[in-house]
Amino acid sequence: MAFDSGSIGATCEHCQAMFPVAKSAAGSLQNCPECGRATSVGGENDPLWTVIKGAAVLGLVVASVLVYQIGGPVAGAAVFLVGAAILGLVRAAL
Amino acid sequence: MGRALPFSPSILDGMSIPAAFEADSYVLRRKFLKILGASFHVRDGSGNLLAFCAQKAFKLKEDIRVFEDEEKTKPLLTIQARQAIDFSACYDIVDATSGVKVGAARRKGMKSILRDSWEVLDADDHVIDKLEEDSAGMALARRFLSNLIPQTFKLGGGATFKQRFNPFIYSLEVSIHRGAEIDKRLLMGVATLIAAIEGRQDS
Repeated sequence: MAFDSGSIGATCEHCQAMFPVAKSAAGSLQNCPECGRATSVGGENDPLWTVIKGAAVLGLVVASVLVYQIGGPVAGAAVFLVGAAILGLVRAAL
Repeated sequence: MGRALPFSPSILDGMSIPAAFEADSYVLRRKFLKILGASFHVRDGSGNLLAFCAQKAFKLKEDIRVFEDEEKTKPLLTIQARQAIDFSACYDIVDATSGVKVGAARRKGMKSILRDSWEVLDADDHVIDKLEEDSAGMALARRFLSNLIPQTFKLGGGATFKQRFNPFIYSLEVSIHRGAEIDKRLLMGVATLIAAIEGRQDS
């Protein structure tokens, strides 16, 4: 099974076979070469989505720093942790 | 462009091909007064129900299912968006009976600002056909004057999607041209997407 720099690995959810797919196929459904059934390929490849994720992380850092300036280190850390947990939940839901 | 999409009934060996994948023309009609999500009846020229499409509400990623009947007992197709947020959204179309991906459809985001335009992809994500509004002038009139002007889409491989004039209920007529060798599963998936995605702009 050849994996080159332009491909990523996928594992079939039906037969557990591993196979390479193009990086551009991240987030899509692809037919498994072993069992032939469609299986989901992890990851995202959309530039807009990457920008939104970056903006969310930047917003969290800025909010944490602002709260740190106003309310001190405990409040800043609390905002950062709560924000990170929310982002993690949203990420998992997607 | 315009390459024929071979239908592969071999995948359905031992199973009968659903009527929805044998019809040469049908109409998708949005169900009236559906509060959450959207659903469409697919009927042939005689009014017989060929399929029922249901779009799930409150899903971050677009998820549309096509069933053989309104009770949703037998799934025919599954259509899933690849990304929750995507400017040029791509939708994978899977034959729910065999579990095999039959292809995908990608909406061309930039181009669709002025004229709705889609690419039809095969199971390996190669572009095999193109679908777009038939007239640039009408597309512009629709955007800047009134979206009551019905849309017509032409698929290079031999099919026409024609919206019926109805200000209240979205209805899309699909005609597969004589002799066109089109994978009708993929075609029904694309028609469902057009009705669900483009049709949403009318409501």
